[in-house]
Amino acid sequence: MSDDRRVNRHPVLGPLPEVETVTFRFEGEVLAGRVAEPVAAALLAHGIRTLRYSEPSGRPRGLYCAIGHCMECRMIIDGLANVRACLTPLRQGMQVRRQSLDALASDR
Amino acid sequence: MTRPLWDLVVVGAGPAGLSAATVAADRGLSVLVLDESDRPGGRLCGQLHERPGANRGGCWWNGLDVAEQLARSAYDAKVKIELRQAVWGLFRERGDWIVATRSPDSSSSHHSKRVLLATGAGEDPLPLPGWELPGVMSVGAAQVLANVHRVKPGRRAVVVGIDILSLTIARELTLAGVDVLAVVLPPDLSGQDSRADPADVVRRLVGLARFHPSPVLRLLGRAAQGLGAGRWAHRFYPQQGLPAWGMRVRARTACLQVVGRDEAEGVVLAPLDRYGRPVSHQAYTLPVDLVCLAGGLTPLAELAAVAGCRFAHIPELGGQVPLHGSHYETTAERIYVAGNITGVESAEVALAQGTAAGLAIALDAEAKASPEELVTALKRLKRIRVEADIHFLETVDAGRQELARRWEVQDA
Repeated sequence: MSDDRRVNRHPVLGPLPEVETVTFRFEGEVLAGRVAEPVAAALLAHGIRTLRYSEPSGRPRGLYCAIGHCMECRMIIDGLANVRACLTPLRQGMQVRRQSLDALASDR
Repeated sequence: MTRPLWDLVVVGAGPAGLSAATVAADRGLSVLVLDESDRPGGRLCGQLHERPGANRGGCWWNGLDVAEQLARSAYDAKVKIELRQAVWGLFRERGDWIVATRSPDSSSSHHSKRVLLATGAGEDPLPLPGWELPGVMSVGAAQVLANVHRVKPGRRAVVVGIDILSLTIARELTLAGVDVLAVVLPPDLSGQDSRADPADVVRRLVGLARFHPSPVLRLLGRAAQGLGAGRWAHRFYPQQGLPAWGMRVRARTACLQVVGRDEAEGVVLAPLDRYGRPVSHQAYTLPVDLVCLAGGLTPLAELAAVAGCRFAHIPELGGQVPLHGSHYETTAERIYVAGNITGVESAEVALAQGTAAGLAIALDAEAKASPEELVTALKRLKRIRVEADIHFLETVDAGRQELARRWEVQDA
């Protein structure tokens, strides 16, 4: 895992608590993450910030509010569209895809 | 199978909701708490700031710890907490309320005699050009990523918007190892946005000088105070900014836009002239991979509107707030409100408000609570409001008085 993006040590919060590592698939690629962390956080830890492409413009979009309000982080998770990556806990074997008009069409 | 009829359903497992639920359950009410997130605590989670004395050996307010304690007390009081439940509707049925929820894989509804809305506050957007690029996020999002999920939201950051919340979170980002280069002003998008007015912002910085618990921010406030009094004090604010925790607080610089092809790659900054207008020919690009937008907080009151509550627009409290009385009752029968939905204040105030609201609801429900206890809780709330570490809006007292006045006259 790209550890420099993790806050492994923190002067106030202390060391990052140990949790189980799980693997998931992002656009077909196998990645590792911390169990039950939000999918968006797991992706960010790998430097992945583009979570979907805007339906009208095709332009990249990423996480904006991180608490489920803004709907900018809608992804296709385990075949389900419009799932908010900021609120969805990571599970072993999850299939995560960027949402876009093309991705939605290829699912049908 | 008949569904249970709850005495109280609380929407929101933040400081106000959890403390109200615990008190009400202690007094014998059956209480269900619903929250959209997958951990209790609401926006307590991620809060991290120095209390007075923090520089003399570790006295920090760690929201995660407070959230854990609150949740434990709630469970001990037999409160049921259901997480990952988004409440989308409130319907009247024969004098009771039906609370409609949606979880990731199912829909359900809960019957309750009373509903407490403790939905908190949300961040106002700052839609400057380029804000839709990945790598641009609300300052609260950066806080949650760094302090709760423990992932750096970026390596080199600029924070746009200068207020107590943005300065506090900017500092937290540096603790997490993010290089925060500067905290700057937003552009004036509406032509009359006080968030973009250097005179207003410098005046607010001066407000930090006396009371803020952080010595660094008090120092910043005193430096701003030293610019002199009056309308034009900001003209003497140094163009390169004032220092705080190794960052530059630049109240005479605005971020005009975020640039980047597929992600944020930089911000265009421009100095502001004495009237607060950007000097475009002096604009330059600063390379960053993280832009945090701090537009301020506003009460999240959609559900109160859905329930039919009447509102009052009170800028001192952060915008539209549901009208409510001293028992936290609204104009909709048996709908109550507590916490930041009633006005933006610190978590400590929300906690005390929740306790008072829980007692008031227990009283209304004729459970074992006495009016004297409520009086004591309200006195305590008043004291905490005065002593609170952080005041988001300086004029909150005036706002509370105005709200009380409007509550009185609406019956007349």
